[in-house]
Amino acid sequence: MLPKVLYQGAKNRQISYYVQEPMSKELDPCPPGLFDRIILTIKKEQELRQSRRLLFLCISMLGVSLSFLPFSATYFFTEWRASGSFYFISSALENISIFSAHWQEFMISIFEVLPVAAIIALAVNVVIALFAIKLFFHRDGLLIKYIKHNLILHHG
Amino acid sequence: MDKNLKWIIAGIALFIIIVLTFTMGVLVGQERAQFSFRWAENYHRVFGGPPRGLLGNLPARSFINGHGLFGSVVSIDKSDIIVKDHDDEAEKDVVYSSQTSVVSPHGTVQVSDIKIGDIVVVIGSPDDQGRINATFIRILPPNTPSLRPSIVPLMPS
Repeated sequence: MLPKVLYQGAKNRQISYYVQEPMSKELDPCPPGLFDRIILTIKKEQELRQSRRLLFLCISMLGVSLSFLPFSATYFFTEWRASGSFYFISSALENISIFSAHWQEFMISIFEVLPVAAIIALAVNVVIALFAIKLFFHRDGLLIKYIKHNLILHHG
Repeated sequence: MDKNLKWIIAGIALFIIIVLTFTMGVLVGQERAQFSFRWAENYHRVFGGPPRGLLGNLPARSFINGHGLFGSVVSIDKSDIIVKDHDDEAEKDVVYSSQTSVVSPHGTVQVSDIKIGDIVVVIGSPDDQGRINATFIRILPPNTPSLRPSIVPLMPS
């Protein structure tokens, strides 16, 4: 990660600064701890940029997935009802003795009627929405903290 | 447990699930393809008319289901019933025997209790003539609400 390397480099420079201090006192007016503060500021700025990028990605994903969710859900329920998958599954569950005797035929018939495309569409949609929500809580709620800090404290 | 080991186990589990799903897909696809071919080849023998239907209007979908169907009973014969599948809209010949279990909302019944217009779920296995040998038939209640908009159930005569 860039900040770590920079930080280490700065530390080294700071050490060399102290080492060289007796020889070049008049050339170096830097107060002690300046590099630490610079590095810290750079690090904060990088985190801020990263948070902004993550927030944009997160909101985009959430927006797209939520706007497609009604369509994929309607598609799924229409296909589910039309295929009769529910009746195949309920037939198996309500007639366990017959199901246990002919389980292979039951299973293949259930697999045949399953609306696979609709299931995949809905599953992908839900997974993307959940992933976007999970991103909000990524790294101890970094995005929530960012939103709180930038939107509520600055504009509130 | 080591974090890497967890990832490896999760990866293997995911791989197994993907392979199983793919294998099931291939198996079901093969079964459907075989049944569709036999069903189309024998259509004129079972239902009359030319091999591709009277108006060439056999279902547009490439494969139809051969192990089970969900649809309305169109006609009843001595050893078979014709059922219009609500899923792929194909009329299928369902052969029944004394071994076939028939269940209605009122309990176990006989095949003779099935009427034209009944909505049924059939489980069975396909034969070489594109028919389904039924092992289980479930008669659903008349108000079963799961039809495609284009399909109107036949009313009992």
